[in-house]
Amino acid sequence: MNANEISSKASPRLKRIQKISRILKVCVLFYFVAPLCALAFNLKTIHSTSGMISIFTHPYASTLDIPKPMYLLWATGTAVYLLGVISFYRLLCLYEKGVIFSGANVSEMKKLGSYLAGYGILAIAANVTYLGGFIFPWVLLEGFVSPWIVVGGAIYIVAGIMDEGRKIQEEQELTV
Amino acid sequence: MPIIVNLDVVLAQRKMRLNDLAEAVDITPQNLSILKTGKARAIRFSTLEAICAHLECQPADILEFRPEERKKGE
Repeated sequence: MNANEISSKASPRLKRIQKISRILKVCVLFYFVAPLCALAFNLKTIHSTSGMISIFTHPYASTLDIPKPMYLLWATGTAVYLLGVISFYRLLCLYEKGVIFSGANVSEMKKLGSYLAGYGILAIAANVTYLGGFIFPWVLLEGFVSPWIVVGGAIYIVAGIMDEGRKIQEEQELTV
Repeated sequence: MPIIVNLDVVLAQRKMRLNDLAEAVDITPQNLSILKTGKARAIRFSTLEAICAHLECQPADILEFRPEERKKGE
């Protein structure tokens, strides 16, 4: 047990956090490790509805219609999304260990925020590809309201504030 | 850190133990130990006042500024 860990004996609240983290970890594993769930993930990204293929919510009649940059964006987007899930999983592992306000937590939260925002940027790039050009006001508006960027940015900022709070707490602990 | 805490010196001069001082000024021995070993980042005026009052000394007897320590820290 390091200095940042909280003893579960000392706090029943921590036991609840650990329990929730364990359940969420199982959910994340089930979602990504089980082959059917992996297929479900693929269907989420490229799913076929009424004969149409959709990438980043943009419909294509067949795979031949999909431009090559869109494949690259889809692959990058999937990788970034998976990295985000890995960061979330690592964060849950830290919570399970009883590490809640450490530098490692902040680092994982910042990574998670960056990956989500990165996915949002890729979604905008996919919009630009789909439209076949840079339509400035529309793309700007899309970027402004993109929930991925907003949520990712918010997580990143909260992680930064948490880091500052952690430092303040450390300093206060050393105030006699 | 260029601020040096000479609490151990003052305590030795007064032939007083850390635990006794901690009890007298109502601070935990752990916190007083943090102050004595120079690990403390800050000291409250109320704490300084209580220590000075009990040890009958001035803040300057407990705290010392050494500029060379700042250079080492940088």
